[in-house]
Amino acid sequence: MLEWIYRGLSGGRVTTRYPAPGVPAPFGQSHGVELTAASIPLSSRARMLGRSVHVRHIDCGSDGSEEWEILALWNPFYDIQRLGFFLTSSPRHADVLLVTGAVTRPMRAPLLRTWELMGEPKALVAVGDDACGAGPCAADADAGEGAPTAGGVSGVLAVDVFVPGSPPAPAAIMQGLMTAAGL
Amino acid sequence: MNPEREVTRAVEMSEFRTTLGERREAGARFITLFRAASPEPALTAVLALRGDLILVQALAGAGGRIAYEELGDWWPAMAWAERELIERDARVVCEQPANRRPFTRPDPDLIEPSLSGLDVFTIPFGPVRSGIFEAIQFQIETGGEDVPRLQTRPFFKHRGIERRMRGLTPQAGVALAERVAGIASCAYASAFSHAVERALGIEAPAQAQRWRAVLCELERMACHLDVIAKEAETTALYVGQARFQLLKETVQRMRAALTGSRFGRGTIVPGGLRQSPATDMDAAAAELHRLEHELRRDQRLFLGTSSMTDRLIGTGRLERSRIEEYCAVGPLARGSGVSVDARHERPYGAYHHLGLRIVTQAAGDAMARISVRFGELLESLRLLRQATEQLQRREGAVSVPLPKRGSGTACGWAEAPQGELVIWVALRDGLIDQVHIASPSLRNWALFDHAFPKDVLTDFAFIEHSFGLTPAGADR
Repeated sequence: MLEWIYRGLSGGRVTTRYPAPGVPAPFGQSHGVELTAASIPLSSRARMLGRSVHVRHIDCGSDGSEEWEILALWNPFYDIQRLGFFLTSSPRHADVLLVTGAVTRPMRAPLLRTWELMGEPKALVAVGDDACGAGPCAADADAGEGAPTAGGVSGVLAVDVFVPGSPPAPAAIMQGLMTAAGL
Repeated sequence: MNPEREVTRAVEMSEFRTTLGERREAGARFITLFRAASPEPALTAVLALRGDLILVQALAGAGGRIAYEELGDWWPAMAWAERELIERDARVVCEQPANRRPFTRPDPDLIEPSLSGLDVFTIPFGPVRSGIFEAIQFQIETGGEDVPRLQTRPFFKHRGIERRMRGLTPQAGVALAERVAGIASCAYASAFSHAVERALGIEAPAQAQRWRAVLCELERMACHLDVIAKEAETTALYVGQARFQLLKETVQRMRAALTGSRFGRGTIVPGGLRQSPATDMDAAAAELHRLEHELRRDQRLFLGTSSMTDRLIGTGRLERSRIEEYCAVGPLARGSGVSVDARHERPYGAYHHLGLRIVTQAAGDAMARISVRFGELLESLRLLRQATEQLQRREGAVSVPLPKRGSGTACGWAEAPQGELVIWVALRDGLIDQVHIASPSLRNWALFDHAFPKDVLTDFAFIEHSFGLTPAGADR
């Protein structure tokens, strides 16, 4: 254990800077991006608390890679905790809900229930092409009652921020979270 | 010459079970059960026996209907595959008990206790779980500590991918195959491409085969590192977790440098590769060397941390007989002493020429499964070194054109990080007519119900991570 800590301290910093040096942050109030109705109260509260945004994730039929990329945000390379984002296990504590997948039929009710349980203000972020309604599993192969998915999160709930990609890179999800929190 | 063998055996419907029974006696391993629509509608069971794939086919009756007699009680490995077939295919008719709940259309709020008694209660765990996990539900029946019974319900993620692939060209279909289980994209793409190539009677160029092996081994490394990082997280060994996450991210970035996708997507296509991954091979070799150095150090420190190993040794023990009964595959089977590996049983592509050493452990507990993964990480690095050297020495095309309007059916396979993956493809006039995916996750997950022989509720996360499966692969 001591060897690990020693190597960690002597190995230098691996965390990528956010935003990248020399590149202005593409999102945020000061850069002229209009915030959605949900993000405005979330933004003022996050600023008041010096950034304490709690994130909850729900899988509604992803292929599993989006989960890896969301999880990567908490690894030493991205370390989103330094920007004030925390994972929470209860939807009641959550400010932002990350949804992956095109919303399969058995996941529709759990998604609605999770969203209802979250207290205001709250924001919903669709992560990945399928969740955004653009992926191959969101396409309506067999329309109507027989359709296996709702064709994206928009088919069930209003989405505040779309993060497209198959899967989106961790940096893109990071920007999506910053936008949703209005930071 | 192509030594890969696939044997089809046509039988009468009445002899179906007897034929399977003979093969089972001979030591065959069950892979999947499905209804093949072409060349003739037939109930098809795929078995693996000593380096052969055996397709036992019984022709369907009038109108393509199949009267099916359930075999899951007789051979537990078949239970989930046949439930899926009966419930999802209206042409397969079975006399099933009327009160049985549909297995493939789960209701998350419905609790089905199987044990009765005042002191036993049922915990429905999932499909929304704390942390970042895919949707799956476990119904844990417990008296507080012991877990006398557990039911896994993996069918929350049905996206109908097999049906969506129908009518596409093989080049378009491979993109969907990559999205069945995103964390094993390369294995799915290479198994699908293998099936299409065998159905059309072509072979991908040797240089493409080597690149496929490189991408698949990198993917295996990422998956195994992910499993180890999650185990470290579960014991609150956060330094170890951070170290293995760093290694995993390094592999992901290597894959991004090679293919432009952090999951190696969009490169493997039927016929070879879409484009040759442009890269500086010397830099890649140096990166692999550095990775191996760090991995060996982290492995030594991980296995030397007694708070970590104490939690894993003896946890979730699976007997060899249970593995064989359920025909489990992958690191799960190899952790219980069963040396099943598609790369060795039926070598495909570059694995004909790469000398593979299979890593097995006899203990059958979570520690054995983690040790197998550590061994396979180093083995993957060795294979990567060999393959990159070969790639440097030789040159050549990386793809051959597919025959126009070709038809045929064939199985293709690959060893995914979770275990042996088999994909059956039927092509008609150059388009996909039917696809059936036999994923390792579905077969292995049936064993999870039996992984708590002497374990308590707090061991749950350790056992689940040591399985290292993905719900997206189980439910397409």
